[in-house]
Amino acid sequence: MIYDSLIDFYTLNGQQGFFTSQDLFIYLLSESTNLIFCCLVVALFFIANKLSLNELLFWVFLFISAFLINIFVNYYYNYFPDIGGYLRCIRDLRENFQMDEPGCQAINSSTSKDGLSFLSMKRGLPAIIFAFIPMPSIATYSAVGMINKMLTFFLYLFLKPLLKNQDNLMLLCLIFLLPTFLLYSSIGLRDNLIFVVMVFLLFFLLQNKFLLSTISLFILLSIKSQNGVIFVLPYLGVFLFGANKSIKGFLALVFCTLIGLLLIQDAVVSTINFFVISFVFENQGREVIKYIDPYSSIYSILVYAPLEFLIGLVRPFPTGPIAVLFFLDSLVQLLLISYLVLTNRQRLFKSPEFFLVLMTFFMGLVLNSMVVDNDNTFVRYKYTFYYCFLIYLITVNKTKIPWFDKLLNRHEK
Amino acid sequence: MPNPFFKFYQYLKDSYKSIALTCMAFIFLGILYVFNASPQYLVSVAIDQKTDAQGELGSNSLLSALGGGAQNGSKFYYEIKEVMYSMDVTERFEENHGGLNDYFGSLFDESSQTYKPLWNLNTILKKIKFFFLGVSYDPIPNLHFLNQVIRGTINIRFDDFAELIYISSYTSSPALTSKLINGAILETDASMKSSEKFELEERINFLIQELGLTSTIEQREALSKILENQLLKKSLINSDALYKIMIVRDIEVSEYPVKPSLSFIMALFLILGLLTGIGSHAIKFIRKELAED
Repeated sequence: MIYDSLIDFYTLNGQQGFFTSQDLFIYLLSESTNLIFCCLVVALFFIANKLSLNELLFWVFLFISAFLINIFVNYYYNYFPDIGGYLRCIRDLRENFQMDEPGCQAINSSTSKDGLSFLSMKRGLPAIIFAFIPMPSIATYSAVGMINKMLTFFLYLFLKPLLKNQDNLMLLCLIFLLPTFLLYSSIGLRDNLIFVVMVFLLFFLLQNKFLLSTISLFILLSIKSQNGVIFVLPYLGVFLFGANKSIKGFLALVFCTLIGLLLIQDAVVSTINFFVISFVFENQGREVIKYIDPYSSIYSILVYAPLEFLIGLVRPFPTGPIAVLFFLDSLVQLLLISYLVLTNRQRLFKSPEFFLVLMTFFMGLVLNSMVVDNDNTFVRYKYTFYYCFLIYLITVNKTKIPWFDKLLNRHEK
Repeated sequence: MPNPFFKFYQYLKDSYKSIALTCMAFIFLGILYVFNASPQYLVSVAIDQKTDAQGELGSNSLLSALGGGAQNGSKFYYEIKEVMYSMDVTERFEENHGGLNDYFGSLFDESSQTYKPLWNLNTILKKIKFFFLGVSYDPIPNLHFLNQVIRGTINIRFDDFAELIYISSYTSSPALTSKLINGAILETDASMKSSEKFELEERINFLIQELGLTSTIEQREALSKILENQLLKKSLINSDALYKIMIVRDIEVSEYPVKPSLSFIMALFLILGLLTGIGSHAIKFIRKELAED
């Protein structure tokens, strides 16, 4: 709510050194206020008996971790070049009730003459949604990060009743502690918002809630058109083919998708090639572009898709210290996915709903793996699909998890 | 069973004096901070890339392209940022404007004609860090320190809408910072000039050679025009005028300090006090409820 109208934002300027930064005091003052506010919101849910004491402590810990992660992010904010845009849009919206700052308006994100084009509000709409959370101080980038954490908290409250046993709740809490989740749900980028909208959309779809699904899909298309386009398929699958209820419906959806892809193959191929070249150009510069071998047809994309999926499951490969961390994180996620799928295979392999969600996850991962060149960007993009799929698997899991028995020293009576 | 929110509300209501006291204490801290904070002025300048047309070197696009035409705004912004923060510009700034004396003059020892080490929390922590890494660290002001001052003081921002580059700084000593920004702009331009000088000379030599070999009048005319363009550029390089940077709005200092903002600081302390008060009572309330259960 409060901000310094004469200052763009306060940050811990990395060049001056953390402890001698002129803004350090204001930064800590501002973010302590936000941290107390977030903890107070969690406490209110505890007082209303919506959370247990352990959950209260867990979420207070997550908010404190977000506070600490943001100190690092604000010190090296140049690593996250998009981070400033949303803050300016939120402030302009709250201050002037308008969106005059650069990049806050609706834009036509067309790719090329033959490619697909979408109306996108990639900064404006996230800013509107972020503005609904009344964070006391929005003087730093971290404020948007805390808003993102708050959105994750609301997602947790939404998912809690959907979980079938206590073990699933613990598993959900466990994935909230994985490094990529801790990082991207704590910083002021829109990826966490995309992830939250995707999870809501997925469950609204699976619950056949037409209006809520449609609203969520439009929000997703506006803030991240690539992810929105992928979710159009399960949306059509559920409401046109009943693909979440019958295998025939699912197969009809797959058949129609393939026919559709063949009909608009020029647009799809040119769009994918455009993004491949754009990401390589952004990451490696102009010189490398001439060595890129673009996809020649939709068939080559379909042939490469399974390979890209496998690569995408474990990428980024361990080429440096940060990449090692993300690689191990990918392995843990993959292990969890494999475990949940294998222990529930009897039910899942007969369920069209599972195949529908798997198809969405497959397409999301393949598309991002194909086009995104920079490993750190890929981890950020992968985050939304990977955790969305993991959360789905946790909600359908009916088996008890033996590790937790050992971990908590539980014994059957 | 009473509504838990109502119970909590009643608990807060009963503790209003304590919450109000916390708020007052934080407001008092805010007042102390504002009194203690040094006022900071905004110093800023708007610059753009000098194109051939602006430099009166002719606006022929072919000639402009042959002579290394203007880049797009954001590319120029990154170039300015890299050059301005480079050690080359720092060296030039020290040579022509004496930055070390301005910023670290108090540490200069007349008798030994050297600078004494700069000890503050940052350098002490660095000393400890490098001790563990087995690297010797001596915080004696040098060009690297001056480079840190330039990087830490000068903020460079590109405005997408205006397509202009804004160089600004919040400072307690506006005259000194104005001098730093002015000097940094001049030296950045000089650094860009020197990197292009060699290439330009090569281009001129090549054109003169080609002119000697060409016999047709049309070709000689075209080459002469390009050569003229390059020679004009060379004359600009050898002059004191800015070569690549165009000052759109000269350096300006705000009339009054813009930092700290009284309303923002007081509001921040007040909200922090209020939330601390409510938060501490929420913890007490939760502990009380848990004890009763």
